[in-house]
Formats: sequence, C-alpha cells, structure tokens
Amino acid sequence: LKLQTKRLLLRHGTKADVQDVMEGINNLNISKWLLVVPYPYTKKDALYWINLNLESKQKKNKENLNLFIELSAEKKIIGGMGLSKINEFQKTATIGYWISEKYQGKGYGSEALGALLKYSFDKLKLRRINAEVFVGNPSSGKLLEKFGAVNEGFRRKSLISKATGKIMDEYIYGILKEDYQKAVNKLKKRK
Amino acid sequence: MRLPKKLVTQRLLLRPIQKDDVDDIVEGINNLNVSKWLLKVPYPYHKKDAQGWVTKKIKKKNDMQFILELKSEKKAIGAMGLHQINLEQGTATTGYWLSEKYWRYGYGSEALGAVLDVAFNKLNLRKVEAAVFVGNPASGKLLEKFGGQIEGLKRKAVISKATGKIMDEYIYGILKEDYKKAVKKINKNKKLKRG
Repeated sequence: LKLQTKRLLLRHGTKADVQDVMEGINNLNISKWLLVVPYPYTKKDALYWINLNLESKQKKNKENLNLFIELSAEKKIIGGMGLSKINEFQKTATIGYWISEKYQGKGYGSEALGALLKYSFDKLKLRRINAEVFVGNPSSGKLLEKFGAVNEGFRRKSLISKATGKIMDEYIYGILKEDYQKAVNKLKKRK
Repeated sequence: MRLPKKLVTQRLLLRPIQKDDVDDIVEGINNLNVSKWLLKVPYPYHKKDAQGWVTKKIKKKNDMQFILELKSEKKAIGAMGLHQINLEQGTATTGYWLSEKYWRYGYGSEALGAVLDVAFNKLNLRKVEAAVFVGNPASGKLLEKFGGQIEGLKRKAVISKATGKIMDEYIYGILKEDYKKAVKKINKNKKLKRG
C-alpha cells in the first residue's frame, strides 16, 4: 500500500529504512510519548519493528497496518503512522504516529494523518477510529482535533511509558466517520 | 507468575470452565437481557457457541476466566474474568455476566471482590479497567462499589453482537488505591451491620 500526498509518501518499511527510523525514534523527546518504544533505541529495535510490520503485511487478516512517512524531496523516512486493532466486524481501529523532531512544526503530521484517515474511512469503510494520547503532549491531541476527533475521556495512570518508565495519564480520543467528514469539509472551505 | 485456579467465597466457587458447563452457560447467556450487554455474544446462543467459547478460553494465555458456581446448587450461574493481564504494565481488564435468575442476590459483588483481591493483592496490579455499555447501570454500580470511576464515554464505541446495535460505552478504571479505600468502607459497613 502506498499513499501519496503533496510532499509525502506513506509506504511500508524495508530493511533499508533502519538508519532513518533509528535516527527519528532514538530521541527521548519522541519516544517519551510512545508506549512500547525503549530508550535508548538501537538498530536491533528498529530492525525488529520493521520485520514485525513486514510479517503482519503477509497475514491474511490484517489487524495492523503500519506505514512509514517518507519525505519525497529527501527520500528520507521522517516518521511513522499506522492503524492497529483493525476490526472488520466492528469497523474500528486505533491510530498512532510519530514525527522525527527535526521535521516537526511543518504540517507533515497533518498531511499524513489526512491521507491515512481518508484511506481508513473511504477504503477500509471504518466507522470509528480510536487514539490514545499521553497527557502532556498537546500537539498530538491538536492534530487529532483538526480532523474532528473528540476527547472522550481521561484514563488515570493508564500506562507505563517504556522509554521513561513513568506512569502516564492518557486522553482517549474518538473520531467517528461523521466527525471526520465535517472536519474535512471545514478544512476544504478554509483552503 | 502462576495464576490462581480457584477462589472460594461464602456462597460461590470461582473455578476454571469445564466442558460440562455448556448447558448452564447456554441457559444463562441465551437471554437477550444478559447478552445485549456483552460484546461478542451472539443471539440466539447455541450449545455450539458455548463449546467454542469453552475451548477458546481453556487455551487462552494472560487470561483468568472463572465460572461462578453457586455452591448450594452446584450450578454455573455466571462468569467473570481478568483479561489482558499485563504484569509489566500492572494492568488488566475485567468482564462478567450473571444469569438473570440469579440477579440481585449480591453474587456479582461477592465474585468481583474475590477477583479484585487477586488482581491487586496477589498479582500486584496497579489498575483494572472495564468497559460498560451505556444503559447498563447495574454493571456500573457494581464497579463503583469497589472504587471504579468513570473515566470516559466512547461514542458509538462498539457493535453488540447480540443485538447488532451500535453502543456507547463507559470506560471504568479502578486504581489499586481506589480499591483499597472502597474495601475499607465495605468492611466498616459490614461491622456496623453486625453491630
């Protein structure tokens, strides 16, 4: 699967991406907001993650769809974005993402999220997407809200971040298909 | 960590599922008043469905599924479990159902007390979560008795398999400290009742 946007290509990873992935994630400013990423993050960890996604790509019932975000101009991986817990009966999934620190604040997250949500609602015909954001990471929540996500709850001491070992509170976000459509209409109007 | 196989309360035996529970399970769950609050249970619910569930649960890891057996009748009157047990995170989820005939006798509370005791005092978990469909206040009250708090309302969260309806869902969280406080209160009330 490939999703093309103006400046980005969302695609499956290959072993050649190891260096870029490591460069992006082996940074506490990134990994402290992620659940299962250790710090320091080594080449071995990056290879494991890439292989895991290659394996799940082969599976018939796809529960996970993890893509890397390539900056077309530099042919460089600058982040990752994906769906997990894809449930065909429920028509739901959970979304997650990271953007390399150097490339933050340039609208790449929004560009990528727009593409993956469009694919999720229009092609996969999902009706709801879940997202979980550690409290203290407002930029991630704002990105979701841009696409109609509603903050639906606050899970106290919900999880331990692997990178920091800290117990984190977490916001629960939900994007219904109708939320998304309304938000996209608004975005188009503004443009 | 070895998960306990059996828990005993005053009136109940919480024990692993056995193949010969199938008839009791069908009797309890083949009832829309029960299954409409459950996520993955079809309606009507046949013997074949129960057999499938029993086989799946016997094999499952990181999961502690109990049948609630009423000691005086030697009958399976419900089920309760700790699921997605994650010892690294210190978390798990819980879920349960009780056969309609046996509602309002405090069996749910008796069983949940025993399961949470294991969760917090034996497995040393930090938090247990539960998802409750909106419109099922009895289930929420049971969690609140043990310190459960509503932490979120997920709109159109899931489709109930029994009814095919899209349901909103409350997310409940019980932290270890919530639980301890609640148990102290429960024990105090018991003492007062006894005089």
